[in-house]
Amino acid sequence: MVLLLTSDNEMFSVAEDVIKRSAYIKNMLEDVGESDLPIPLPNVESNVLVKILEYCEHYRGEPLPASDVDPAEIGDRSLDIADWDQKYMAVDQEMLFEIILAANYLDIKSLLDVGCKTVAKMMKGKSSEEIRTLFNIANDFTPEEEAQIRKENAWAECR
Amino acid sequence: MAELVLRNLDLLREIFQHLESCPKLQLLAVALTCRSFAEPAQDCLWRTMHSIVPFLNLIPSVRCSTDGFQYIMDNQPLSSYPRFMAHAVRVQRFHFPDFETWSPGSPRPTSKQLLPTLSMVRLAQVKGEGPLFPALRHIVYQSSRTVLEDLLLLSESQVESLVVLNHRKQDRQVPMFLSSVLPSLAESLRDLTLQGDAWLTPDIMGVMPLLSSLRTLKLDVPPQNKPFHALNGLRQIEELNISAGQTFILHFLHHIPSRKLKTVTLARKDRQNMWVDRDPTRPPASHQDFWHICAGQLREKASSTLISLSIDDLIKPDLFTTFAIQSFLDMIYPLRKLENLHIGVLSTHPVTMNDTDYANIAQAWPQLRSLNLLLPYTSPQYQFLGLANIPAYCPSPEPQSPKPHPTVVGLYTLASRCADLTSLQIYLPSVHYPTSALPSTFNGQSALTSLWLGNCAAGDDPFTTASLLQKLFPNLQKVAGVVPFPGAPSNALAGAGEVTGFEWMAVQRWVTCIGEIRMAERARIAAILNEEGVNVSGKAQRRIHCD
Repeated sequence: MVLLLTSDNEMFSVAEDVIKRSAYIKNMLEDVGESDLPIPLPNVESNVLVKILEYCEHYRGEPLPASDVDPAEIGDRSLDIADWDQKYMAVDQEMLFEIILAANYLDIKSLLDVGCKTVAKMMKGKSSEEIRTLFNIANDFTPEEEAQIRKENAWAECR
Repeated sequence: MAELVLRNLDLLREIFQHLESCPKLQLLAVALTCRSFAEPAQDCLWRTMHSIVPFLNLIPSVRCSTDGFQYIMDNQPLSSYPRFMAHAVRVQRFHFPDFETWSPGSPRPTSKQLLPTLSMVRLAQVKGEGPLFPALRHIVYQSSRTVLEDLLLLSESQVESLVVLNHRKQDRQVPMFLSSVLPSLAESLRDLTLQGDAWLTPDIMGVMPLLSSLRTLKLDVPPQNKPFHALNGLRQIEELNISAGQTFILHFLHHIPSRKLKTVTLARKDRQNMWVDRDPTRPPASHQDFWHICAGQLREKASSTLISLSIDDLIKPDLFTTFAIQSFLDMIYPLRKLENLHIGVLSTHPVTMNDTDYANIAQAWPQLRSLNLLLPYTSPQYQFLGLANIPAYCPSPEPQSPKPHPTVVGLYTLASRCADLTSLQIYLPSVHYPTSALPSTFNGQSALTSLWLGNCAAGDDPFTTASLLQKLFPNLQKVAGVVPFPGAPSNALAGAGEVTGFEWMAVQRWVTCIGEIRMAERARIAAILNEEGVNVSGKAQRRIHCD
């Protein structure tokens, strides 16, 4: 078992084969070896870690995805998300971004991928204004900056 | 919290890359959302480009005069065009579409509209100072009509893959461009694909041996294309895919020096007199079957490396000869790492196979993942009424003597010995078999998801057939077959793809149904055990999780 200490000082005892989906923890265990000391996770709160562990438990024993993605295939990737992952990601926006940050910090590639896909799916089919409203973002472009982006990328409107 | 993600450029790139399969307009909308989105969104927007024209607008040195003529304003170095450089470093792939499918609804561009000549001259000038697109790795031409001067501009020493599809013989300038460009890619090119009805000229063939870094080579040439003279440099090839006349294929296999072949796909386009360089002490090639000679070459060169082998005829099957499947298999059994084997329709004469052949296959390649034997087979003679009462269709679990055709025993042998088999296309005249006859220790082969049995009697009751198949293959998802037509000759063709008859559709429905019930039951048991905190291991765990 591996002990994890979250930023709000909660201790979790987790099976090694579950948490090894995190490359960060896996490397740490390999570097440090067996230890009774908990691994501090200063960037992860307990409610988020619970959610992360739910994901790791579900995919326990499944092979880890390849880390390198061929740039030639990036454009061909679909936005399809597995049924279970979709249900798992049916959380409020705050938690969704928390999961993405934690997956990035813990280096869980497959979870990061699902989180990013979920956000991309939320953006799909929306205009700039609609995306701003969705994520509560202000338009901080000057008129000149916006005009330059439009001009240089005018070709994209034909494709 | 959203702020931390939406200001993190690396995370934004991760998110936006999933929008690259959408129309480009989507990424433009994202880029125009706010400043922090602009750069990562444009990284994704410009990563795969479909034309070089957007870059011409970023070199403001070409102007049109009032009388409509173009002229060059300046001869500044590349570094004086920061906007060009800002976008050029983003490009990793050029994918030029076919003119025919350029952009539905918009006027079809001509080559002149695509590439204003003077701008191209200007690009060629600045190219001399360094690569125009430093991160470019992949170039795909969906049609040889789009292979123009831009190929000369794009050919940088770091390009790893070049694909020219639909290489038409009318596009006569393409061989010239290719023969000029390929030598400059000799050190970097890993993948090369040339596909179409144009001949490979001696110029291109002469360049080919220089491509010493090539790992994947896919050639699709007309049947009469003359073979290459020398292939000395091709020592690193791992994946070879040739669709050509048999002389071309044989010459290629004979001369390729690579000892790293992992995947070989061969498709024959003609059946002319064979010519091949050979050892004078060996019998003439014409006395042997073409595919047997290929097998001999592969056995010689790839016995410890080959993982996938696919052979097929793109011509009408030979009317006068039978494909000697047993001797062919004997020749390739030494390919001890083989995981995927596909033998297409090579003859209209039926072959005869039985359980012993399937057992030999299972013994030679227990690591097999997919097996497709799409040959016409000799079916047993039978009457269609009272099928189940005929002994040929009721094989005992331990037959007294091998039947002259395969039975479920052969299928069971493959299932039990090849644990990784996921896809199977073989001939089986009937699936009639008492499930009680299966060994009690056999829990099924859980890897197989797709099964095609050719001309196969589905049995009297689709549910019983589905139950048997589910017992053999608990994770089976797709099953297909065609019930032999009454009065049909004893020439069952198993190679009709995945066509399925009415009876087998009923079996498929039951397979799906049984699979769903079993999955739900396993999930229910796993949930109960989880709730009770019971850890199971070994056989019980395998059965619950269907490993």
